[in-house]
Amino acid sequence: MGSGCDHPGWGSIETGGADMKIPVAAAIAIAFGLVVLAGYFLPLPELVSLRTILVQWSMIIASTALFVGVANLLRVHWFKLRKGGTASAYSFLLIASLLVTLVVVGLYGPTGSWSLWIFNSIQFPIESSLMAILAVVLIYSAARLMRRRMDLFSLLFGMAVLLVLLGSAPIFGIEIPFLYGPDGLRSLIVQIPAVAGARGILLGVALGTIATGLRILIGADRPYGG
Amino acid sequence: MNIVDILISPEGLGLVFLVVFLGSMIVFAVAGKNRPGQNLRGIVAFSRLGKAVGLAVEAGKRLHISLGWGGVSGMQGISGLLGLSVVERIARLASISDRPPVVSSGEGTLGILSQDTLSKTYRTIGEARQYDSGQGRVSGLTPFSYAAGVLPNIYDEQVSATVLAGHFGSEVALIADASERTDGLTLAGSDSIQAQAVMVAAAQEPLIGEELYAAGAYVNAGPLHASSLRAQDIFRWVLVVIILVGAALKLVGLI
Amino acid sequence: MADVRCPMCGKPNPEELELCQFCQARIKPLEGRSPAEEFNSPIGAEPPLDTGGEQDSIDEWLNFLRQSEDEGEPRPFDEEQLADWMKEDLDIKMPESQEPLEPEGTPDWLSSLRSIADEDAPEPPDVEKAQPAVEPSPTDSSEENEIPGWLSKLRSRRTAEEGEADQEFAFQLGEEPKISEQAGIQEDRSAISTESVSDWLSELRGEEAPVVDSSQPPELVQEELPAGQVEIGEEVVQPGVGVVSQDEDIPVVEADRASEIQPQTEEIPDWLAGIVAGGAAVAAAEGVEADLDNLPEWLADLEKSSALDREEIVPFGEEGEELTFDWLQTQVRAGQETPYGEELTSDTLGTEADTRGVGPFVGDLSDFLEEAELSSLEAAQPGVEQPGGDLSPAELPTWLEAMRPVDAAAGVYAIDAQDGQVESSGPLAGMQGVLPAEPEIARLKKPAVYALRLQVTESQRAHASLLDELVKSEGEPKEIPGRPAVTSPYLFRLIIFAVLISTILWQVFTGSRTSPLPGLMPETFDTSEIIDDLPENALVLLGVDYDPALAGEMEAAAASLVDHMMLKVAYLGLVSTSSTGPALGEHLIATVGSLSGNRYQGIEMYANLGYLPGGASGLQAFAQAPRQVAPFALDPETTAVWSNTPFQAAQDLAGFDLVAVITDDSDKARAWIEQVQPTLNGTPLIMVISTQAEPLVRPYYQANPKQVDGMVVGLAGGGSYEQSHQDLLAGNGLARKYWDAFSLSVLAAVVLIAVGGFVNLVTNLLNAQKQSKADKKR
Repeated sequence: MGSGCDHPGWGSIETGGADMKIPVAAAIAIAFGLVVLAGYFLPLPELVSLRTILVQWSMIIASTALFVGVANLLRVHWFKLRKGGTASAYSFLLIASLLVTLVVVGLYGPTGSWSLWIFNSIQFPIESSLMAILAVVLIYSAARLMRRRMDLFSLLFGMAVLLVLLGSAPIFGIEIPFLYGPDGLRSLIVQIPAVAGARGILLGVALGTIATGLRILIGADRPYGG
Repeated sequence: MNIVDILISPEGLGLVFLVVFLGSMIVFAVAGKNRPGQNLRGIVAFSRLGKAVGLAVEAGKRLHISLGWGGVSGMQGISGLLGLSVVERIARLASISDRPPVVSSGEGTLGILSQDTLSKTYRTIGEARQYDSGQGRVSGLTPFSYAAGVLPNIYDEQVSATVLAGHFGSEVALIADASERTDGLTLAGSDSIQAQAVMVAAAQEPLIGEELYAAGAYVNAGPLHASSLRAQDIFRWVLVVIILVGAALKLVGLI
Repeated sequence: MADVRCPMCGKPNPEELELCQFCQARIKPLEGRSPAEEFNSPIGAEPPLDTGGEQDSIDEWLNFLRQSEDEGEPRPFDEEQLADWMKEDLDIKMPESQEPLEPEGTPDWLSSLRSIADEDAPEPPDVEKAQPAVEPSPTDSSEENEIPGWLSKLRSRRTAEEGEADQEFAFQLGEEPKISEQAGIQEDRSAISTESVSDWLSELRGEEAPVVDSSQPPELVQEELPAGQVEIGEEVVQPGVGVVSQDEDIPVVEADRASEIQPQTEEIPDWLAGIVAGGAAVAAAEGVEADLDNLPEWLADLEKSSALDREEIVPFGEEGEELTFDWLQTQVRAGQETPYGEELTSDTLGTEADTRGVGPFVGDLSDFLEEAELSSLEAAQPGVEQPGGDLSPAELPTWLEAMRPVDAAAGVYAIDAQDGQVESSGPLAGMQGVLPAEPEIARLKKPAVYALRLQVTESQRAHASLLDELVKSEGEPKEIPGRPAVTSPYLFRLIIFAVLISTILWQVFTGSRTSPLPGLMPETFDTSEIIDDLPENALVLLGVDYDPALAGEMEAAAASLVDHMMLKVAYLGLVSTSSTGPALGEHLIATVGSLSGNRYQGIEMYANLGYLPGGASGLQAFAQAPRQVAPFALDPETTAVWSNTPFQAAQDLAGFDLVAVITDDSDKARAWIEQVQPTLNGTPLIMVISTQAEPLVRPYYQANPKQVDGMVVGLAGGGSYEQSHQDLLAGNGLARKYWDAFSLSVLAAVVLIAVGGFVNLVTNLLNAQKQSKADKKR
C-alpha cells in the first residue's frame, strides 16, 4: 500500500502554512517561543528572568483556560438541554452538579468539608468505578486481540501480558519461583525489554516533539489560527 | 563565559542540535517541494482513515476527533497540536458531509484551539456557515471524566469513525471500546506509553511510537511535515549511533 | 493568306502550318469523326478515347505521335525491343538513327508498332468519303490526315481476331490498311484491337447517344467555317478547344473524341451500314441534313429506311417521353426479319427480353444478328471448326449476345416475364433486367413505418425494473434491524465481570489473608531508609499527582509511607499539578489518619498548597520560585504558608528535607524528576508510582547518580513497605487488605485472557481456513 499522501481522499499538499501573511498572533507566538528557547539554552541573566516571567504567564493562561473549558462544557450541555432528547437529562444533571459544586466550593473552599464530601462521595467512587470497568475492558481487549490482529507481535504481546500478570502476585499463596520476586522473569521483562522499548519510543516521541515545536516556532504550523 | 563554553555545555549542545535539526528540515523541504510525500512508507491507519472519511460522508455520519487532555504545554501538548492538524484536514474533507465532525478535548486550551481551527477551516473553504462552536467541546476536566464525557458523543451522535490523537491515559480503552461497540473505525495515537500499550489491544488502528507525529505528513497538512519526518529519521539514526558508541565506550571503561 | 490563331497561345500563325510556331501546339486538328458518325460506328470499331487519365495519356502520346509524324521525322525504334514475330512478319527496315521520339513510358510494343506504321504508313484516307459524319479539317490533305500505320494495323489486327464478324467491324482511319493482306498480321491486329473495340463499344453503350435524325443523313461538309473549326453534325468543333457552338439537343462531343472519330472502311457490313444510316438519320433529327450527294460509297449503299419515321424516333435523353423500341422494330422489319420473332414492345421486352437487353440500334440488324448468333452457336459447339482455322472463338460481349435472333435461339432469348422489372424510362426503356441506374436506397419509396414503442430487450427491461426498485426504495424508510440485546461480546464482558467480582467478594466476605506480602524490595528499602533518616519536624513536600480513578492503588502504595512520615512528625506540604490533587491529598491524609490513628489536621500539621496549573511549566515555575507560585494554603484562613508555617525556613525547594511524589503517570513523574529534581540540591526525591509507570521511572532510580532516591511501586511496593514496617498503619495496611483479592483477580484475569485468547485464536484460524477454501473454490 502506498503512502497516505497518495490516497486521493487527502487531496494535494497545501501550503496553508506558507501563507505570506503572518498575522500578529503568529508573530507573537514565534517571538515568545524564541525568547523562552533562548533563555533555556543561553545562560544570560536577562533571558533567564524573562523566561521565568513568561513561564509564569503561561501558568496564568493555563488556569484561565481551565475556566474557559468549564464554560465551554457548560455551554455545550446547555444547548443539549435546550434541544431536548434522551440525553438532555444527563446534561441537566451535569449542569446542576456543576452549579452546586461551584456554589459549595465557593462557600466552603476547596478543602471544606462539604466540598470534600462531594468529592469523596460522588467523584471519587464514580471514577473508581470507571477504573473497574476499565479493568474489564482491558481483559476483554486482551482476549480479543488474537481475533482482531493475529500476528507474531500480537502473540508476543499476549504472552508478555500473561507473564507479567502471573509474576505480579502469588497464586493461591504460592510464589512461582522463576516468575515472582525481584529476580524473577517478571522483573526481568519489566526492567529490561520494557524499559528499552519505552526508552526508544520516548526518544522518537522526543524527536517528533522537537520537530513539531520547531514548526510552530517558525510559523509553519499555526494551530492558534490566524 | 564565551561562546565556546556555551556551545560545549549541555545546553549549548542542545541548541546546536536544534539549529541543525531546523536546518535539515528546511533543506529537505526545499529539496522535496516538487515531490511531496515521497519515500513515505505506507501506514495502513491513515489509508483507512481516508476511506473512513469518505464513507462517513456517504453514509451521512460524522467523524469524531479526540484531542486528549494534555493541554498545549510540554510534551503532552505537542500531541494535542498534532491532533489539531488532523482536525483541520478532516474538516476540509468532510465539509460536504451533512454532519460535520466533532472535536472533543479534556482541557480548556485545547477546546479553544479546536474551535478556532474549525472556524478557520470552514472560513478558508468558504463554508463559514457550517461552523458551530459546539463542534469543538470540552468533554471533561479529568482523564476519566473526559472519557466519560466522550462516550455520549460516540453513542448518540452517529459517529462512524473515531480518531484519538493527543495525550491520553489508560482510560483511552473506554473510548476505543465504545467506538468498537458502534462498529466504527478507531484510529488512536498518543505520546503516552501507557496509552499506546492500551491502544494496541483496544484500537483497530493503533499508532505506535512516533507514528502519531507523522500524521501531518500523511494527511498532507503541509510541506514541512514531510521534511521534518525525514529529519527525524536521520537524527534517529544519529542517536542510535551515539547510544551504541556510548555503550561501547562504557563497556570498555573509557567513560 | 489568312492567319490561323493558335488555340493554345492565341498567336497568329500562317495557315499552312500544322503546329504553332510559338508554342508548338497543333493548329490543325487531326481527323476524327463526328458525333453522329461515332454513334453509328459499327460494333467493334475503334472506341473513342477513354475518359479520365487514360484518355489524357492516350491524348498525350497520340498528339506526340501526330507531331512527330507531321514533322516528317522517322520514328526510329529500338530493334531489340521489337518482338521477333514483329520483325519477321513486318519485315521492318530498321532506320539507322534511333532517336526516341515517343514520350517516356511508351511501351516497346507500341513503339515498334509505330515504326511499322511509319514504314508502311498508308495513304491518308479520303476523309470526305470515309467519314461522312465527320467534318474534315480545312486543310485536309493526305499527309495531314495520315494516321499512324501502326494504329491502323492495330485496329486491323483486332478485327481479324474477332473473326469474320470482327473483321467486318474493323476500320481504318480513312485508309485501307495495306498490311491487311497479310492474314497473320491481320489476326494480330485483330487480337490487339479486340480489347480496344470492347472498350469503346462499352462506352458507346453507356454514353448518351446524340440525338440524330434517322430520316436525313447527317451533314457531312460544312462550308465556310472559321479557320480551325470543324463542324460535326450540328456542332462546330474547334480542335484543342472543343465544341464552339452546338445544338442543344445534340450532346457535346469532345473535340478529342471528334478527332478520334474513325472513318468507316469500305468493307462495312450490312448491319453496320444500316446502323450508320440510322445514325445519320438520328443526327439529322433537328434539322441536320446530310449531304446525300457527298456520301461515301459505303454509306450510299446502305439502305435507307424509308420506313423510318422521324416521329417514331424518340431521341434519347428526352425527358418525359417513354422510350420505345418501335424504331428498332421498324429497322428490323426492314430486313424482313424480326430478330425476336414478335413485335417488340416495351411490355414484350419487359416480360421476355433477354437480360442482356436489346441495343438501341437502327437499321437492319438481321444480318449481323444472324452472324452473331451463328458465331455464338458455333462457340457453343466445341466440335465445330471455327472459320479461320486456328483462330480461337471470339468472346462476344453480353450485349451482343443479347441481340441474337429469337428464332434461332428463342428459348435463350425468350423474354422472361418473371425476371426483373422493366425499365420504364431512359434509353433502356422497355428493357428488362437492367441494372438500376439508381441504387436501391435512392429510389423513392414509401418510408417504413416504425413503431413508436421503445424497443427494449429483456435484459434491459430487467435492469430498468431493478433501477426503478432501487429508486423507489430510497424514499421508503427502512427498518433498522435491532441489535440483539445479548451478543457474544456482551456475554464475555459479563463473564469477566462476574469472575472478577466473585474473587473480590470472596475475599471481602471471608477476610482471607493467605497470600504473603512481597518481601523487602531494594527500592522500598531505600525509601524506608530515607524516611528513617528524616529529622524531627522535617519539612516534606508531598506531590499528589494521581487521578481519583487510581486512588485505590496509589493510596494502598503510599499510605504506609505517609504514615511513616507522620510518625516522624514531618510537616507536610501538599501540592499537585492536577485539579483534583488537592482533594486527593486531603483524602489521603484522612485515610492514613483513619487507619493509623495519626490524624493530621489543621495548618499546623500540614499545608495544602493547592493546584499548580500548566503541567511541567507550572512545576518548573514552582521549582524556581515556590514562594511566588504558591504563596497561600487552601485552609479556610488562606494562610500564607511561607511566613506563618514551618515553610518559612525554606526559601526554595532545596530547603525541604524530602520531596515525595505520588503519581500514577510516568509523564508526571518524569516532569517532577526533570523539572524539580535539578533544583533540589541534594534533597532526596522519592516516588510512589503505579505499576504502569515503573518501566519509565525505574531508570531514574537505577541511574548513577540517582535522580530518584527511592521508589515504591504499586500495591506490591506498598505491601513490601508494610511488610518491613508492620507497626505502620496499626497493622491495617491497605496493601495487606487488598493483596489476596488482588492475587486472585490477577489469576482470574490470566485465565480469562488465556482462555479467551485461545478461543479467539482458534476461531480466527478456522475462519481463515474457511475463507481460503471459499477463495479456492472461486
